[in-house]
Amino acid sequence: MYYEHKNNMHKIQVEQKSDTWEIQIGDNLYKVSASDLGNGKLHIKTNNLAFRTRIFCNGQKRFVFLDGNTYCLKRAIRFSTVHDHVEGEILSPIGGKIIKVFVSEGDIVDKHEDLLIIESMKMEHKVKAPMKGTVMRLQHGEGAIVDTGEVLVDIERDKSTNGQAEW
Amino acid sequence: MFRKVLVANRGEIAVRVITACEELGVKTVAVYSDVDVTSPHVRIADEAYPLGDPAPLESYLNIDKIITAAQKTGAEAIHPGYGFLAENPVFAERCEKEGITFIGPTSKVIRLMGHKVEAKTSIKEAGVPVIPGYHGGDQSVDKLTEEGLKIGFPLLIKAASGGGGKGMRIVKGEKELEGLIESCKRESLKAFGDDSVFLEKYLDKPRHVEFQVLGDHHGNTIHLFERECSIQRRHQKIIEETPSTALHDELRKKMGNAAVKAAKAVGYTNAGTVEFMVDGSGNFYFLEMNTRLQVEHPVTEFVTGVDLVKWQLRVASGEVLPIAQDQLIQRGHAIECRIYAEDPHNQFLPSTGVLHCVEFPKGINVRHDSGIEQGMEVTSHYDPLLAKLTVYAETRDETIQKMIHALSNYVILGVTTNVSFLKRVLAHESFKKGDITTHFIDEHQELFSEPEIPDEALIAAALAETLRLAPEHEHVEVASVGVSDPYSPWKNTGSWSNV
Repeated sequence: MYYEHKNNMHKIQVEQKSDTWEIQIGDNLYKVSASDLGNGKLHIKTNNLAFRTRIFCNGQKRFVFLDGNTYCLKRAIRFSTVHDHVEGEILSPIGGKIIKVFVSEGDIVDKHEDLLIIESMKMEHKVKAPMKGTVMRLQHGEGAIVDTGEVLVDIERDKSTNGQAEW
Repeated sequence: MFRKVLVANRGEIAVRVITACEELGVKTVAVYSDVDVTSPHVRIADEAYPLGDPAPLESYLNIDKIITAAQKTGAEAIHPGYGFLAENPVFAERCEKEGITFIGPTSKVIRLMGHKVEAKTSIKEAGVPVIPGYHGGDQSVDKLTEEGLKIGFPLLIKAASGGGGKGMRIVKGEKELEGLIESCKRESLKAFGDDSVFLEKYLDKPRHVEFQVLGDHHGNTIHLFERECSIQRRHQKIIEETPSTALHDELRKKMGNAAVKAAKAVGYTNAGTVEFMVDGSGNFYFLEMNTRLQVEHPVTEFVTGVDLVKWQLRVASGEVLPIAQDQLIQRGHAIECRIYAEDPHNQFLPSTGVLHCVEFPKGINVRHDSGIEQGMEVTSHYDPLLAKLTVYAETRDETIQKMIHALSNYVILGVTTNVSFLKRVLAHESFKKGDITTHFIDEHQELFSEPEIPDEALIAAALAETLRLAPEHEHVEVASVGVSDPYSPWKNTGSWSNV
């Protein structure tokens, strides 16, 4: 996930493990548990500290109150409209949690083969390969929370099929 | 005591006054403009009278409408709060004519104190020191220049009818004197319809220290000690405290006596405030008198144990002051922070919006005067003061600690406020030492450097998504996230299946 704060972009990787989370921010990895106290109030425990915070979400804006300071963040989609999309990058069509990954790096997949399942709004969405090729990179594992437009999988087109016909 | 009082104000001060009336068993009438119809002050009053259009001149500043409201509801007295009509001699005079008690001094005193030149002259005659300067009637540029040279530099030019920093110039040397006198006169004429100015010595390490006074209609006048209000931005106070670290017992006594002398000299009744400037050497000078209840009155209430608004009501209804000067003591230390909807990082300009999450600090000796609540919209019609947080403890250090803790638990989400800025001021080493002047904020630009966002805040934001505190994602079309490649595989993968 990406958040913008005072013109800085912050990347946060979240992986959900049953009732805890592993959150990676820069070089720091946090094992997190949280209780939702209602009305935006959260009690959060990380590696070695516990804190209380209050959150209000308004559209893409996130107001986070922490220890007398209020941080106004903007939930950001990684790719702006000027992004030059790389062929073979499969973007998440929806924000949600990856609950199942069917392929591994190096696998050869056929067109329309299932790659993974994203759960969002209590529904499951299957992501399929748009073409025949090799899975070069899997960006996330099961449990990862992804944003709309985030890269899920890189597939290198299988040259043997000779291009456009397979699209 | 009155049977019914109309409160001609809004926000926290209307709530404050209505509560004091309730305690005394006095019925209350609130007035409100269209945008304030659901405000707390309207709901807690016994009756509420609509003023219509939110523009101040059509509502809270409209003398005819407010007088009519008082007459129609049978209110015997009007409490003006602060701001709006509180220091308007025409309004006080109108009340006097209509036989409605104006809870404050007489219109004559308000008029006198409202004109800064005349106010200074009468105070000086009473033997209270005023800042060396020229307050004469000869307003020719030649005469002003001559007098300016006599006073010396740096020098301050001020509009006689001015306020809030408007029509003010600092002159550093002889060369710029004449030009600045002329430009100040032009600005004053435009802003106040009066181009008379006065000249004053510009003070070294100036501090703003004011004294609360209270006079009854039987010739008794007392003071309730000082309030230090040096922490200001845009010439408006944001943090006030008592006692002041600038005063020692002897100076406090001297200034208190001067304040009472000044009030007596003009025949002052009800609650008022005598403002002084104190310089780095402990000289003090009369600045002006505010003929009303001050925003920062809660700090005085904490250290003296007096309910100033109740005393205002009692005095106005003809009661004798129940306490003599020597019975008053100043105990402990109190600090008030003004909570403003404003952005310290954008020249303290007001911010507007809806107050989404609101949670106020609580605790022993934590007082919160507020006219806001969750869900309310802060509009641009009125002053952006949302609330006042006042805390009290035995010592100044302890009071600062308490205030920092209280601010750390002060939640307002949805509108930018000055809460974290206030916290940085209180935590500043110079503030802790009591080393403050009216230039404190300008001289400490480090107050404006915000800490980097801590990982905790990012963790919280990320959890909000996964715990679904955030609004559910709309299904974003791939094209709208910017895949401009016409050959993108996403163009033709077909619909998603729910498995």
